[in-house]
Amino acid sequence: MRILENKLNNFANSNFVRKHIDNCIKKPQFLTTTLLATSISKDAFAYALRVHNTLKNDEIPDDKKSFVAKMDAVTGITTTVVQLSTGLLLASKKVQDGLCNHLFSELKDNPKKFKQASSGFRAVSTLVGAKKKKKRILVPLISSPIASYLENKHKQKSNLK
Amino acid sequence: MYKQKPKHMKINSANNINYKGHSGIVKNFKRAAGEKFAKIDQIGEGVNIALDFSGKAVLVPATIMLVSKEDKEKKEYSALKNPVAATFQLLMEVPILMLCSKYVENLANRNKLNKIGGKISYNEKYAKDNFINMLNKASSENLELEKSCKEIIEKLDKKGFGKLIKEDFEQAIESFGGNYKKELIESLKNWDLTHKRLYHLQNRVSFVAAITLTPLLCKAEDYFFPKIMNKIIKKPENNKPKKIFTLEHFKNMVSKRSAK
Repeated sequence: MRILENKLNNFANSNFVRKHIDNCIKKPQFLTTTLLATSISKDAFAYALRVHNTLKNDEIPDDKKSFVAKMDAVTGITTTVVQLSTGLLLASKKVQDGLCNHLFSELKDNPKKFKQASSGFRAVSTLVGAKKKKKRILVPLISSPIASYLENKHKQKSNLK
Repeated sequence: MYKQKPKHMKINSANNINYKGHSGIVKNFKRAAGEKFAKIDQIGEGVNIALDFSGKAVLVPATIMLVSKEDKEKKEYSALKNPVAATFQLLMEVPILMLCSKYVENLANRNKLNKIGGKISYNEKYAKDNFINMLNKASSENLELEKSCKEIIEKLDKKGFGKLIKEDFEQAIESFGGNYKKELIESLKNWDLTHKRLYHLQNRVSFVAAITLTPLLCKAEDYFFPKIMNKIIKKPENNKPKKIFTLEHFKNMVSKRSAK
């Protein structure tokens, strides 16, 4: 426990973490990008492990194993690319300013509230946009045909052999 | 000269204007949406986990089932992997987030996360006590401040510190702070900053813990997924062909009997 406490102390007081936390507090865009990055890295790592595990898992029937693994691999790659591009696009200052000016035009008489609403909207819209709409709808839409295509190619090759 | 307010507007209070008519609905909606978004306090790993779970458990399987052109059984097998994975992820990440947050808060409030001689930057309890002590001192000299802060402190005990509580305190101090106004605002700002710092530290520690434990999560998922799927989708009984009495069988039987 003592070791863990010391490690956490070093982590919390390292220059990188201190700077990172300061940026998260001061810059809403930085915070949104950080949440996107954490989500993407968790996903990419998990999908890579899933592909590895699926291929080595003897309990999954052979005829389904290859499709499940391909689906995982393609989903992992498209997730990373789509989430990153959509998230960064939605979090970009230009897009956000345009959306907020349009959506919260009624709050322009109260600059403080306008700023608060904009920063709340930035975080929610980026995450919901990147994670729900794009990652969970667009990704399977893209990855499903790619996995099927790869699976068919694999079948054709094995038939030729 | 007094300017009459337009007929399409109804002013309920200083900040609440109700517009009438069709365009009024849009304006009211925009204002209400703005007010709601302005109340959002902090977004962290909790929201991330919740969004991830709902997407993985519902949207991905639905999209795979609707879009993929593979046969139904394969699609089901791949689609159902996501809700299973999402459930395992939720079961692992929520306790990690809760335990890590509690542990980090505990360490921070016991001054274990501050370098010796350094700033007390994560100790929220210290920052809170500092502000409350100062508020008590100022309230003892100012009854109006005491009265206005009493309700806020009750709210604080129930809901915990956040953006709205901070704004309430700011308003009360601005109105009745007197000589202590500057010191109180400074102390409140420090509490808010420490609260945010601790919150982000908790989130990052939870993230590191979650990613470290991801191999374990995948192993569990990999172990249980085929077992769950075998229960959901019945295995095709290819090894034991079913004995079905067909028309051919009947004809053969009849021809054999007639030969006898």
